Amino acid sequence: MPPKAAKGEYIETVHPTPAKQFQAPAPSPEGPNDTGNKISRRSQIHGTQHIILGGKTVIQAEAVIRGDLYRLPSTAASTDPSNPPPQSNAPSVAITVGRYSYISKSAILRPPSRLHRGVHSFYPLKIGDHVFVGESAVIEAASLGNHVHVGAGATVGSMAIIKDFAVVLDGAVVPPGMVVPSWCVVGGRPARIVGEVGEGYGVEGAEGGMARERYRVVGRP
Amino acid sequence: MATLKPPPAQHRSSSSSHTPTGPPKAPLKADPSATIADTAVFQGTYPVTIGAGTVIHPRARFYAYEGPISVGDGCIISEKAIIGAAPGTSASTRPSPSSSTGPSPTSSSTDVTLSTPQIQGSGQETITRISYFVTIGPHSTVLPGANIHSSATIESLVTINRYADVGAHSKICSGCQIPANGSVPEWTVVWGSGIGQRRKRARTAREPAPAVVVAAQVAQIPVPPPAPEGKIIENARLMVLQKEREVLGRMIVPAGASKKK
Repeated sequence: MPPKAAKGEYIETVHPTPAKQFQAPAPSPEGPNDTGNKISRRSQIHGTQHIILGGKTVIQAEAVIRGDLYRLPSTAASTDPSNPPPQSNAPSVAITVGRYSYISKSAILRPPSRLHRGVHSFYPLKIGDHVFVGESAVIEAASLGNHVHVGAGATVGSMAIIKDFAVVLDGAVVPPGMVVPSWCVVGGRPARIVGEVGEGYGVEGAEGGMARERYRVVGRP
Repeated sequence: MATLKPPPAQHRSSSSSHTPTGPPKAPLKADPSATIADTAVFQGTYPVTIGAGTVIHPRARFYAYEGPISVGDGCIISEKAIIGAAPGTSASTRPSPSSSTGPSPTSSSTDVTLSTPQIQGSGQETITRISYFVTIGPHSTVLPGANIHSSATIESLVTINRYADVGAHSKICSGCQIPANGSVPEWTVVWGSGIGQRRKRARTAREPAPAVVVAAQVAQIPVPPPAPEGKIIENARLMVLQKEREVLGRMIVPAGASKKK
């Protein structure tokens, strides 16, 4: 796949290039297709070495992704700054984004943090496949499942868990620690379950299942 | 790979020169123990003061065009938070300096709006004050003249309008707005949408809920003691914040540091 001659808004990652900063995840059953992420040149990504993109991910302009807030090894809890712990070979992952997920303009993804046994640490933020994150949404969740839709201006609080096929309406405020079950629609401030998505939601080509099409049209002139 | 890196930082404490075409860089007076990310933006003509132990996340923006900005000790300012206002945004809600106690000599309803730029031009400055141990969430906006008292929490996507006053230990939940000249008493939670609804934070020890009492009787275990007083919970929260700041101070790439990535 030859690189495009024209310098578009989006950088497309191509698989075998060593220039790619994003790590390749373990080979998935779908094959080594962790490529073709479309990342806006104006996105604001921090700590790229702690971010895994599953491929076909779209990241729009001004989206902030805080990969620098990764989980430190437990030895790093020592408060001695002159003696930093040795770097482990396995890099800790701050944010995982699945295939065909879409991060809109000005959205913020930041890993959640909490105090556990006297140690304040950040926990990985996992985002599944075919996930849509709306404009200016703030995601601090522990995990977003597959086919989750987060509306524009929504807030997902620290350590919340959104299961597969759930929909968070525009402007909803999902409180910290909330678990949204599968197939539920949540909305309001604070968010509560207001309904459920219909049969066939997320099926390819139907409502909630347009992720491939959404990916395809990004960056087209 | 270079293209995937964040764009060059607009703020560097080491480089004092800036391009003449760029926006003016606000004089920054930061305590050495503060952690300021390299991609935080400081613009404007008035000074910005940052207290000890404060953490400024990347992409936070400070616009000191209308007056100095003062941030106290131990604050956390999150990503894309905007403190101050960029030039060009209207200051129409500004109250007249002579207040509403008496008619000002030039008073007529049209004069007030017309005279606003003159007030600005005459060296009137609007101090934006953020006190100690304040947390400001991502995407929140604090407009000039706002005064946020100590230990307040501003969650994400909040707008604090001009000359608003947020009391100590209060919490503004996500998506709320505090109107111009509005005031939030201390120990208050503002929640909901728009200007939101308000309630007092619990400050006294609370007995366990009836359901808990019944459950304890069924399970034949002693009824749990009442929840601790609000003051104790608040102190615990502030201790957790302290831990968070320590961790963030180690993780955020500080301004002026050589890029090791």
